Amino acid sequence: MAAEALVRASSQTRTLARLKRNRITWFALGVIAVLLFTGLFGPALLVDSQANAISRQILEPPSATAWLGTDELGRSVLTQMVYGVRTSLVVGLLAAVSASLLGITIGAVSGFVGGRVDALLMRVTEMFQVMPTFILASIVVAFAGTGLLKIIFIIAALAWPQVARVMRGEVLKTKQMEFADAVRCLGHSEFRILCTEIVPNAIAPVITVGTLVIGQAILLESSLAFFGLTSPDVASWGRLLTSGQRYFYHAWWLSVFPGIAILMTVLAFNLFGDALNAALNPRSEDK
Amino acid sequence: MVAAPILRLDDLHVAFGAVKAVDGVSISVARGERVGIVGESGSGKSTVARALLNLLPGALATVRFGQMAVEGRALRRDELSALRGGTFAMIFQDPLSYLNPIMTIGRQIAESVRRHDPGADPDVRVRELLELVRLPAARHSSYPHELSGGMRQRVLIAIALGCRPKMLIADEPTTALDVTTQSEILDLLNELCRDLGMALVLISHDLGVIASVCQRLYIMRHGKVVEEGSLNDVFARPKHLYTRVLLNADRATKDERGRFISLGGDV
Repeated sequence: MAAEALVRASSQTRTLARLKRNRITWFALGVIAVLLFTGLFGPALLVDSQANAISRQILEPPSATAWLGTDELGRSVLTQMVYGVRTSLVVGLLAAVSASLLGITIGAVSGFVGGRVDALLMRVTEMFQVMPTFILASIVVAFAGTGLLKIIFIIAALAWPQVARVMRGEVLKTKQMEFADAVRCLGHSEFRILCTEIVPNAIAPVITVGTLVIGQAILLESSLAFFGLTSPDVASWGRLLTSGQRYFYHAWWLSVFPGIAILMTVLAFNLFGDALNAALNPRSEDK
Repeated sequence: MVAAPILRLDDLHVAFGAVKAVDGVSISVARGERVGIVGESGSGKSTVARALLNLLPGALATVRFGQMAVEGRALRRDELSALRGGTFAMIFQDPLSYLNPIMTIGRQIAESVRRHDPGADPDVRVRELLELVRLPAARHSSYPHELSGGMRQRVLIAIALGCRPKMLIADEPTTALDVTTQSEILDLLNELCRDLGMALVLISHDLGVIASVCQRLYIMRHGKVVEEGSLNDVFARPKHLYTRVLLNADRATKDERGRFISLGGDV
């Protein structure tokens, strides 16, 4: 099927070309690359420069020995942040991906099938939307204990409804467009029409919502940590941010640096989502 | 022996709630025959086409017919969807909204080839089809919004031909196009039907369009067929008053030699 690949490649190359032309893409990819690098190799590199995780002084402001200062127990903020990259990225990405997949599937089926299926799925979605975060978190932690995967599960369970609602709205709009009828005339099955015609046309706004979930997930992990619902052995930006709030007037560096890190990460993923969104739309070439 | 007609439809009724959109229409199309359905807006002509392909929303429309035979074989209503593409393909009035905006036209044509012509190499066939509808093969990587209205209609025709249909249903295919492009598309349809031995059902409100392509026509009004016959018969000896009114309305815009009255000058 080399020939088929040729036909398909041309549209993919053009999407890629549009993505590359966008300067914001490069900024976002740069930040994401730094994060990945830090997550993978940071802890190993730190051993040399900021060797001691526990310095002698507590609440030391940023200095040559502790670049980003130390916390109330004398632990280096930088070291904790570097270890926290892993937690925050893993939680953010996995939660966003699973919430998006679940939300896209449920939203697409709900919007496409309509009728009773739609009504039922939307009531379930609303049920999850109004569910209080900490009640769900307490139930899961009480029965299954703490752990990163459980945290991801909780966050995904809370975040998918917003994806599902956006997806459903887009599918409702797209399925009324005439080209769906045109493809139906060619004798394709309804399932195929949903997967290859409706979903690709409806996905763009959903990608943006999905990237927002990354930021929400990082912050939600921190609130869960604040209430002791995550394992205290795991360093994360959210935990740093919330535990630093108590000392904000004496030691601003405890919350400001993790805050900046979270902001930059969320910003990078959102910008990347936007750029992807624009690149997937062939019309953006005209501008 | 006369071959069974590609389509014989008896006594079709379609109602949207209390409104009867189609009220007892019977149509037959022979192999390779070019048939026109004429009528004003709301006369039910498009509804007939949509009923043939089972495209009417089941929740809104009640469809009932006496008998329907495709190539001599009687069919039930739930068997109609299986005819889509391979037996009946369809093209539409507004080609832009009937094309997927985020897929290149090459891929959209290839989709229909892969579905109905599995033996063919999709890429080779896409090039063939583009050539058949007089589009440059290099255009396969264009998106619908990058093409002109006439080119988009050619793409829709190429997609339909990718199914190798026995009958093409064209629902107002030229209404959204300017007059020059309109005649190019009609010439193309004419030629393709002749070369490929494909039957054509052309739906239009424009008698001129029907006259330039079809051999036989049905005139519809208020959901009923008011007159049918060969092109020459209907034009020369209209039986129904409505047909006469239609023909007069058409002639009013032409001069004594039958040409459209034009104000001249380049546009």
